[in-house]
Amino acid sequence: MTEIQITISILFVIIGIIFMLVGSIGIIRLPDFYSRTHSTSKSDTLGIIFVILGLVIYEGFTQSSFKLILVVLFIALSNPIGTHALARAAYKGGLNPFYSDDELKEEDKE
Amino acid sequence: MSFISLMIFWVIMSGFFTVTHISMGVVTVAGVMYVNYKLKTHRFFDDDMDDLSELRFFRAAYYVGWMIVQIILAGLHVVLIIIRPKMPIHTTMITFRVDLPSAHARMILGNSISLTPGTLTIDITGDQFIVHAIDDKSFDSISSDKMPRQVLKLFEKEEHQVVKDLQIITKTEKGS
Repeated sequence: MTEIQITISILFVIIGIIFMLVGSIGIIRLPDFYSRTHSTSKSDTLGIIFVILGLVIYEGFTQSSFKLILVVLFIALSNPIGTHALARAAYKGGLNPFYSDDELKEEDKE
Repeated sequence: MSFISLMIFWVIMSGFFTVTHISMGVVTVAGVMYVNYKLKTHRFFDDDMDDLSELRFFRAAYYVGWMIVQIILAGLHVVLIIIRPKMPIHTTMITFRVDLPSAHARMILGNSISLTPGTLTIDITGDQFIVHAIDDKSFDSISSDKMPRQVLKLFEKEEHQVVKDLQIITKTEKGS
């Protein structure tokens, strides 16, 4: 029983770490601020949720796992608000988003 | 009401049932309620709701489950875009107006847009939304009015068209 439990929890943590890694790669690969915000907000939320769920499975049905579930809930609630605040600040600051169509036109001219 | 829920939260968090710990909890909860009193009575919008009486609870439970599925789909969607070598993105901005009963409903819709695959709420002024989308498929749920209706169903029984004046911007405006 415990070995199965540990295996499943390790699997969950590994999946979560992969999501967070790809999110970090996305920050480097994507072209502008707004699309980078996509990669941080979405894949990081999912990554953190998976890591914490893995810890919950490792912990079993105890008080700490209940606290961890609360942490998941608060992350899922606060992450969109945080990204919205960042994107709104950038928009109000006058940062123009990158449009794929703009780049296509420039390539045509050349 | 909020005192009881905060007290239950305190007991679960501490895990002790001795007199010392409970009395410390009472003092802390009273302090938190005193600090938050002004925040709770202040109205940020004219149509601010005081409590959750207008919320339909069975709908809300369904909505939370639907939202969890959306979070997982959103993560997979972004990850699949990033790891593909060609990186098939087509970024656009969308602006639209919504017809929702209260400020809270608009707040829920904004958060839901940020959580669903490929879209990100950038600004909400009044009932005007500005949304950033990473590829063409991602704003289908907004333009087909599917997701805003889920939010509307949280508060009202009859359905009507929520999204109006949808506008898709794909290029930088000249002179701006």
